[in-house]
Amino acid sequence: MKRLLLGVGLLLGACGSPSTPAPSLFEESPASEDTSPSEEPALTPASEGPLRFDDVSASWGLDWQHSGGRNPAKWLPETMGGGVALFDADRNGALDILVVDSGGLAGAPSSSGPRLYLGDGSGGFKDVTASWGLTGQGYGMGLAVGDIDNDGWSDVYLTSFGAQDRLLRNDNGERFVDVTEAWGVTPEGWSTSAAFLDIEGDGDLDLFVARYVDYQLGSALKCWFRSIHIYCTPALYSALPDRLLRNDGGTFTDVSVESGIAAHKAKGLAVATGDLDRDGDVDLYVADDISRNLLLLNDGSGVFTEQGLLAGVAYSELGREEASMGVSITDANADGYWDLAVTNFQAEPTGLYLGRSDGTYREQSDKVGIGASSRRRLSFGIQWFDADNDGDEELATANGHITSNVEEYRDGVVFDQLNSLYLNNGGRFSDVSATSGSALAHRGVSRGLATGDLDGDGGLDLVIVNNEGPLLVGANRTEKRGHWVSLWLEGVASNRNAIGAVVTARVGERTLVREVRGATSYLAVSDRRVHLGLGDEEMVSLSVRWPSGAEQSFDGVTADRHLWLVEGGQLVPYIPGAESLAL
Amino acid sequence: MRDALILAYDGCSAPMALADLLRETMSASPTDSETLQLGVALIEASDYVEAADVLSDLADRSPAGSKVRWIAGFALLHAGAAKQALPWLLEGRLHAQGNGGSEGPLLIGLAHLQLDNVSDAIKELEAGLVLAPTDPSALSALARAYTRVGRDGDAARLAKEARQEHQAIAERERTLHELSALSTNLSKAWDARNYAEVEKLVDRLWPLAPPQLRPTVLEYRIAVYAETGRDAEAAAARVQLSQLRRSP
Repeated sequence: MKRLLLGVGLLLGACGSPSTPAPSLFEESPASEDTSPSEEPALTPASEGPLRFDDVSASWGLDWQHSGGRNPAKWLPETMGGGVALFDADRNGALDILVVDSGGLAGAPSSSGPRLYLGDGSGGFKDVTASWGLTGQGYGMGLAVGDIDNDGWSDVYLTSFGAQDRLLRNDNGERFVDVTEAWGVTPEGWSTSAAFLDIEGDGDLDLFVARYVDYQLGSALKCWFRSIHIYCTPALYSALPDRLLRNDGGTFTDVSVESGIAAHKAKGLAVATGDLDRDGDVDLYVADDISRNLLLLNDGSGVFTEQGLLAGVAYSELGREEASMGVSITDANADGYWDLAVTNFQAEPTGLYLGRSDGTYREQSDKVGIGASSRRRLSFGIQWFDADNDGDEELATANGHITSNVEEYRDGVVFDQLNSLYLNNGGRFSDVSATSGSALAHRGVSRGLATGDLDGDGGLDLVIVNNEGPLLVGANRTEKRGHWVSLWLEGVASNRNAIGAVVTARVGERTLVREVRGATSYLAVSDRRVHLGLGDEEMVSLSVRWPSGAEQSFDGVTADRHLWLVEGGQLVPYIPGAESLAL
Repeated sequence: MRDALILAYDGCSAPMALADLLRETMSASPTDSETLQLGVALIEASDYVEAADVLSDLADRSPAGSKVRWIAGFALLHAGAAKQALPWLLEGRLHAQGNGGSEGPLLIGLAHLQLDNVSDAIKELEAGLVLAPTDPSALSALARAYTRVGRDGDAARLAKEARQEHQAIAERERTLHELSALSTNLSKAWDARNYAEVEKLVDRLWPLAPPQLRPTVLEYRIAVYAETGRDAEAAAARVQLSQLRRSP
């Protein structure tokens, strides 16, 4: 029998990627080329650098392990989960941690479900999963957090592979109640990241759900590189359109078509919210795998126009599709315009799209020092955060390849990878991963990444979910940290979570701008409290533009405090974990 | 040993490994040729910042219009240094003949765009598009340039074309991946004498297979009929195969 393989092999080329010819001098390396060695250094925790994160997972009682159910069949979802959220579930001012497990596919034992740890505000955590009624169901991916009924208690949306998403209402900070059906949510397909946002400014939170590809276990092919069985490329599968659900007060209505969202089919993995065109409403950026990324600009009524290509954020600078996995937004160079950082496949850079006054962006990852080192990793989760409280935000990425046996057919490329931390020096970046402590010395298949001040000491900590590996918690022990202010905003006319609020801080001669975001990163929710690094300054002037349009200003705010602000009210200091904060 | 490794890395598309090897084994006083080899390897490894560093001095010493200057300009542009890149790209454009000659105008157009010389960018990109009218990179870049000067209708038209081209490329790639996976699975199922699986895979392959592969797919179908004692179906498939081979 003639080998059909040979015929197809000739079509596809050899000695390199199974799908693409060797790169020419004048081409960017395509995602599937995948030839950048990871160059993983020895795992010696080093902390002589400017930043330090100690691995405190065990000592803080967070010994959770993600299970992906890896199976000899190599199902595509197995190396894609899991997620994490940092939020205050019980309103005691301290951050809690909700992690999303994946489980098993095709009859394998299913997941034990998400796990909730309540924090005491000083680094102690208690597993309350059972008493909060959280159980396993489906193959989990990530989550979104938002107060859907504006009752002051943050609710949760869990995404999944296999149409088993769940909407959980937080019942007075005591338990979660499954309201998926009651709220009219009908999950479909494979959902990944999600975001709560107020699309039409009516004061309640709507829900955006990014969806990936139409992958059916029953008809899934086995894929091969030469004779090596590997995970299939998502290029084999059709993209699913993302979904938008409008909050109609007690029910969600699917408005994907009329909002313009469904018109753009791409392989959605991550979403970030923000007022990207500075017109006062909340827009969306969706990071898509091997398809164009979407910039969805809101007209204020919940109708979105896709402008990614024209704004310069859909593709690489040369106009090539990349395999994007995660996204985070900040004003990285303090010029007053939002900048997007987008994680990509190995051999592609973590894209840094710097915003310009005309609403377009310029990709500058190589120029600012991120490009070369990020090409040596395959990155998913990503988050801007001010690790040293100096006023500019560092960038962390969660790394790990998607193919468990990539070492068998790619020289120098590894499955388990180290995570990355870039120090921001006024808009230029240096990779300080190797000198930033034991939490950065863990090698794994990292996915969801979130940041927040877990122990209330004014330093932002890191939490990373490792696929088929441990939850990694990095306590910020950076020696030279500046002063800071943390601002917890609660809307009244605006949505309760104040998603879309913009805080402008005058710190000495500098102006910092931050926004409360519905989502960033990949399968993750970071602490929504606005954390401002003040450097040597001990006072700050703050102004808040609420989603309702209302504005408030405060002068002479003293540093190093956690402050709570209800829309229209006054700044109230609080100590995380010390007391329940009144509704 | 070094030369053998260079050949191996080069031949097997391992650009980062090749660049690392060249960097680590570079002599203290490298020749121009060694410097150029490292610079090109760094470009192929997408390490543009270091490539620009390595190549800039060499390009400075090289004659005007030389290929070295074009390559250095290429590295500088990718490293985000459009201002330094542009003069060398302009004088070396004759060296960029890829993609029907459109590479030169595309890269020079991008450099102009980065420097906010939008009318020059449009001139270059329009010239490039004439040479490669369906190139999605050129379409995207020109759409972005039109946006910058308020030609929103033209920008939207080109953006749509670029998206359609990307979509067409993705569809072709998807078909190739599917063909590759199906064909490998077919061979393995055949080796395992799993004829039910072979038949299923043949059914999936048939509508995707390009004309040159169809006879082979049909041979599998005939063979599986023969192995499972379905003589009449095998005979009918043989007739089909013979017609297929006779068809132009």
